[in-house]
Amino acid sequence: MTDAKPWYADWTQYFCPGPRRRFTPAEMLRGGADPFPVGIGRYIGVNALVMVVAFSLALQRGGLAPQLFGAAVILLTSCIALAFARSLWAKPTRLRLNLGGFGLMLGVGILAGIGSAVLEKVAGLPPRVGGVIAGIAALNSAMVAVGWYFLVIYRVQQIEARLREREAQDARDALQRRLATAQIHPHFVFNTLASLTHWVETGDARAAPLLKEFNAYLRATLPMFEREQQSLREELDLVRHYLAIMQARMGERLQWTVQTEPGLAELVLPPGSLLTLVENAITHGIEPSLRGGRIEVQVQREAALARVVVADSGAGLDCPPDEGLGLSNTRERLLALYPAARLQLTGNDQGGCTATMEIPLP
Amino acid sequence: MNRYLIADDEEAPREALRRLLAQAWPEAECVAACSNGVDAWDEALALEPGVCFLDIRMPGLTGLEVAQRLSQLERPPQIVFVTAYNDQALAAFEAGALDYLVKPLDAERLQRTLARLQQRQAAAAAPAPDLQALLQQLLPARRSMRPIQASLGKEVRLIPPEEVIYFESDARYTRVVTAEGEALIRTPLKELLAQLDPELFWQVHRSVLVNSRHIASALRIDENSMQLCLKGRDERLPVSRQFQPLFRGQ
Repeated sequence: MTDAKPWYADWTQYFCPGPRRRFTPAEMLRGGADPFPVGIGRYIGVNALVMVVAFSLALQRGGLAPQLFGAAVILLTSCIALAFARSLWAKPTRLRLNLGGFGLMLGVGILAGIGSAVLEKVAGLPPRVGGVIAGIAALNSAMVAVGWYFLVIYRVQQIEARLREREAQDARDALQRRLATAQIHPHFVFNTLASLTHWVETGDARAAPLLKEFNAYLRATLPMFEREQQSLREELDLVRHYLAIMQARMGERLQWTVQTEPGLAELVLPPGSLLTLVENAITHGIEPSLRGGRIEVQVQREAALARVVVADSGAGLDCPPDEGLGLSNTRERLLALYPAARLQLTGNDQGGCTATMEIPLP
Repeated sequence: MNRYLIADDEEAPREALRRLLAQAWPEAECVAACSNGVDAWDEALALEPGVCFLDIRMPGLTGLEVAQRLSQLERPPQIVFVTAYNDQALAAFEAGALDYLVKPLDAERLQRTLARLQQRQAAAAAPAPDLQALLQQLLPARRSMRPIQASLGKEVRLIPPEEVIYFESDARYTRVVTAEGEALIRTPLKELLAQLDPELFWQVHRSVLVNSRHIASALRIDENSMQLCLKGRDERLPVSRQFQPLFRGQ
């Protein structure tokens, strides 16, 4: 990716190192949820202690004052290092990294220089010791700045990875939702093929019309996987093919009607949404019923509303039953298309269920 | 043993199965072809076939429910499930060594099933012993019980099922007996039993369904007949031979 660029392409990195990417607050919310690693705090704490001990030993001959001064500088630097690391974790930008890093080196250098000069005057340190203290302090702060640099790089890559994961997950979920509603149920396909096989083998006249309907159904269903929306007209055609196939298979056990109102043919729907409602009416209403039943699909216009109703005279089982995956997915996809739309399932007085889809018209 | 029952709610697959079986197993006889689970169970009780070919998705009782009831009988028939597509159930059948056929049917596959059936019959083996557990695991939770609606003249009485002591079929009606009295309803017993909780209501005869909480004792009359005594009631209910394994003591 970056290896194709010449060495001078991003010259700012020589003066102001760090990742270029800046995350928006929304991106931080999505990808930046990981907490600050506790291990870093422990590591810095242990290092500070070791350095205080080492420093005290090295300055043994200078007396107590330089030892205390050294310890104070080390502890102060560690606290600053940790606090700023946490702040960088929350907002990992290149600007903040560089301001913090160079600021720390400059500040600690000046502070250590002044401090050791004062100590030379007051405590009468030999001239070399003050220089050593200042040098060690500056080196120490440079190490901290390098630590920050790697922390920011790590953090930015972590957030980028999390964002990519979330994106992939979202894409998978969306596909899942689409497949769940716009799918061809294998049960339906193989049962239809079972009837077809029998009628073809016995030379039954019902074979040809069923094959035609099945062909039309498949032709209408397969493109649904690639689409985000389709018209009510196409959706109703699909439902008619589906019901004609079920009619051929179930015979007298199924009666159905589809009534539509002119002017709504181009109303846009999530692909397979109406079909899902009709499939539910068949699977949960008509098929489990000993005497079969009736399915009525109606499209009505009411003021600024299109109402699509699928009613079955169903099994008389508990209704509304717990809404299956199909229905909640259909509702989600409908709401994605029309935030003010409604989809509900109610029980009928004489048994059976009614699914109602209400879509506001422009 | 060469008598079989087939059940499928759709006409074409049912006829396909009947036709293929007639070709592949000419010496056997199809005693019943049913279009729902309720009829399949009832006919199986009446006719006692040696093999039942059951579609899984059927109205009334599902094929799994019919199989579960059949497996509790004194001489349970062999079960072959027929299904269009149901990967979860098929995997379970594989594990339980139960036989199944996939629609559309294939003549060769059917031959193999028949060979396996005959082997099992020759060995006089009962169905796979873990059939009960397997079916229990596949069966959906029982639906809730609705009150029984009995018309008495112009009045419709609602009877909560748990208050019923027993149901008995009586020609074209079903007699509903409660502590307060009796009522007649039109719903056939075989359809009622599909709606009732099988843990509470035990079928003890093709025409009797009894609330297990009201059974006091089972009385063996002779080798073949058994009767149930009810708590606080004088009448006795017959237990047909097929259901006698329900009362074998522990």
